[in-house]
Amino acid sequence: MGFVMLKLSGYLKPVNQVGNEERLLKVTSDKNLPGTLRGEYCLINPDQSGSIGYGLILFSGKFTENILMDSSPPMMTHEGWLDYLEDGDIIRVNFKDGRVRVLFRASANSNSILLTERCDHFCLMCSQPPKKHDDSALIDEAFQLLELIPASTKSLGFTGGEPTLYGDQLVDLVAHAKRQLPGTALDLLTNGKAFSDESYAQKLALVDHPDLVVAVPLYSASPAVHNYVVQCAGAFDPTIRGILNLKRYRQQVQLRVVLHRETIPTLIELCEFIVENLRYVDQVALMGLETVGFARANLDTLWIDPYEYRDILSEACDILDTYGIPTNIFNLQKCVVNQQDWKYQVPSISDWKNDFLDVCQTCDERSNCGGLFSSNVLYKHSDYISPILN
Amino acid sequence: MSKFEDASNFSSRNNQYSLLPFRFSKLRDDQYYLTNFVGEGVSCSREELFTFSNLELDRNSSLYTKLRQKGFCIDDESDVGLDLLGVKAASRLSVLSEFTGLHMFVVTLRCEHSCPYCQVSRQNEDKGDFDMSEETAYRSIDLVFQSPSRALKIEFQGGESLLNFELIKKIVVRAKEKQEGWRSLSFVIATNLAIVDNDMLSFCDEHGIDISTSLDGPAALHNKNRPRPGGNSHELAVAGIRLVQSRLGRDKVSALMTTTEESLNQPTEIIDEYLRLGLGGIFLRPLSPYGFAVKTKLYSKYRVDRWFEFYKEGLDYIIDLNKAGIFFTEFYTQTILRKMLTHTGTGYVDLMSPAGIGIAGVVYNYDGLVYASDEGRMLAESGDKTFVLGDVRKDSYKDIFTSDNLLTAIEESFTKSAPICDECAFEEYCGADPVYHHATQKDFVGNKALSEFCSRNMLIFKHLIDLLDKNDEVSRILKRWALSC
Repeated sequence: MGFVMLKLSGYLKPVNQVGNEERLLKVTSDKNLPGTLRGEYCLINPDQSGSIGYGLILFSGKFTENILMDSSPPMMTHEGWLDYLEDGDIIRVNFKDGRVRVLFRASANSNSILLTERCDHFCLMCSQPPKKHDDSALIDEAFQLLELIPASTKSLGFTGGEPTLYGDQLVDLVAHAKRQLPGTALDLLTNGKAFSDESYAQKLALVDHPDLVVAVPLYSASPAVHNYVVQCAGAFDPTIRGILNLKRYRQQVQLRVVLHRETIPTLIELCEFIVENLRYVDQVALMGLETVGFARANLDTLWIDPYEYRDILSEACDILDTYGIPTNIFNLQKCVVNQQDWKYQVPSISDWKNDFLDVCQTCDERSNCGGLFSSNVLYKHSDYISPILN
Repeated sequence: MSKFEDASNFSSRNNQYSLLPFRFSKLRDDQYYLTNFVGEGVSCSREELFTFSNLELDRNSSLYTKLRQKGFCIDDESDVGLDLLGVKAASRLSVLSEFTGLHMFVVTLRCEHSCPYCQVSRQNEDKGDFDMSEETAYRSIDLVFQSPSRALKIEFQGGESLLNFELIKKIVVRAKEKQEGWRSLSFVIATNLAIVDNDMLSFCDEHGIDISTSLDGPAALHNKNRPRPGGNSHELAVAGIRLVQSRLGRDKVSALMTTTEESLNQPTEIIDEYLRLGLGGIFLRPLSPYGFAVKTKLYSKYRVDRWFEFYKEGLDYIIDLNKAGIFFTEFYTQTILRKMLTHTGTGYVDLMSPAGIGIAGVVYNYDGLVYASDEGRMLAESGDKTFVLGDVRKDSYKDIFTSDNLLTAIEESFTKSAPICDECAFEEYCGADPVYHHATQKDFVGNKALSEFCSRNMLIFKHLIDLLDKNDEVSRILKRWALSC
């Protein structure tokens, strides 16, 4: 039980002449793949024989000398940090500079595709701090990635930055997902403002994706507070209008609220606002704070121990539940949440972030608990984490 | 040095705002109840009301925050409140587009009871005179299926409807044949259950038919209200209820009471009787104006106040039951709470505006005449034909459902444009009830200051507002009533 956060990107060292391409490759440990297929794959756990034709041979150990073989496939090594790679994963490799990123993990319970780091908001707790440069290569790559992801994948997320900055191209991507992965549920994370243009909501609706949820953050019923949290003047109204339009066109909408010191004071009013005005949304997600990105930078402003707001959380869930709105709590531990709210808790969105403290060893509820984010373990977590003994 | 802006940068620097439509009524000295365009309420003092109306309320105050969030005003920070009011207003009215869902068939006037408050029954044995004919029934069914409503309910009434059970069977079978895939169809038989037998129950079981019966209270009260040869109406009703519960299911029978002077003294005993018989709720009905009070032209404040004491005592008792974990509701209160706390609209005819007569529920009488409501039918029995809409044997669907009788009554009584109602803070919780006002004041609108319907409802609204404002266990119980459908 180490406090290891999975590293998703880094560098590979070439072992032989690898060329200059940048490619997406599926990961396999099968040394006997049919020859015609091998070019699309990166072979892991290789030995020295029978590896002709693979797109990449990926070693784990150090090499002291180059191995030169005529017509050998490209060979590189990660020297250990990518040992977690498994069959079915998908990586992007830039052979020229050795940069590698893991884009898809087959064994993860959820995968997100980052479409852009650009954003028109600047949330105080953003876990993906915005950048300004043109990274539209990411959405181009996403089209390709959707064709490689196994059709059996249960769910996928589109995230950013703000994906709707791509306008119609994002709608095309959703349509592409529908065609390539018709059995895969899709979460689209967005601030929702682009949908205040009814024609854009209509375009998305016309795709008629079989299982699409549009996840929209709403941090307060007070426009001043919501706008402050997202650091964008006038954000509140178009967000609400976007939600209304999405529901007009029968899209599934999830509201997300990140729980911290700027959102907790008006959380009850927000829930009252939701049940009075947005009663038809499909889910509300109440989320504990992950200490990465801007959340770390603004920790002094944002941190409030979840144990201290547990009663407010109970009242919030009660209001939503009374009106029949499906409510879920994410990223909090059972010991810091009132027992009556355990039924709303789901394990972490991303299982690869699950970690526990030493004190958790004796906890009777450990197998039901999502644990902590590795980042929370490292930087900031509740002072009240303690084992529950039945 | 931070790239993040301060919270103060996101608040407006001026104190201007614009009012959205709202109304107010006084609850008591220095407490006013304000409602927005869709009936959502906020309480405040008289001074606060004036300050707010004069556009002088401090935008940083918690009252301003509450009022803006609840759609009483907009400002340069946010005006989406207007869009939200529109969505909610449309929701409240959406039930209108379903049009007539409840279709009542008076299959016979014959009855073996002789309840003094009943205006319609006949004890004549001659079936020909007072039974609905097959032709009338089938023509009525044709009209039922011309309604656009996605949920149809056919209710059999009388007299004692089971006395013409053969026709009920034919109507059920014919209706099911005509039922389209996009509609749901349900049936209710209103009966005193005195003559129910196993064959009837088998048929009801086979076709999923619900039973609605009369239960006025404990035996002495019930039998006094509802005489029959043998004087055993209560005994038979209780036996019938238990039989239906066991043969058809616990939820398949409900009961209605008629309130008489006698009832007013024993609300808890009446409720206990309902509880004892496993019924899930009660309707503490007002004293009927039809028949007796129509003759008396005087408005009686005493009658209203006396009834309200009865209602409050009953409601308190029911709330105590809920506190003890028994989910038992009072239906009129529940309907009003739904209008106060949700925007799903109601199909309860008397609390609809536009009035639900004809457009939510309609009556096909045994003789082929169509009535706007059951009370309208009762008025006709004493000679007042105001609410006759047409004749199934001669008139088309359009003739009947756009008849002048119907449209005039609905239009004139519409509360949003009626005097006194249009300014009332509780208008969104209330209804039009042109039949009641015509019966008591010979006017579809009526002078609401002289209307028992109005004064009774106002007492109930204010009482419920007080209970909800406490934000305690009782408020939670009432909210749960409003939200359980």
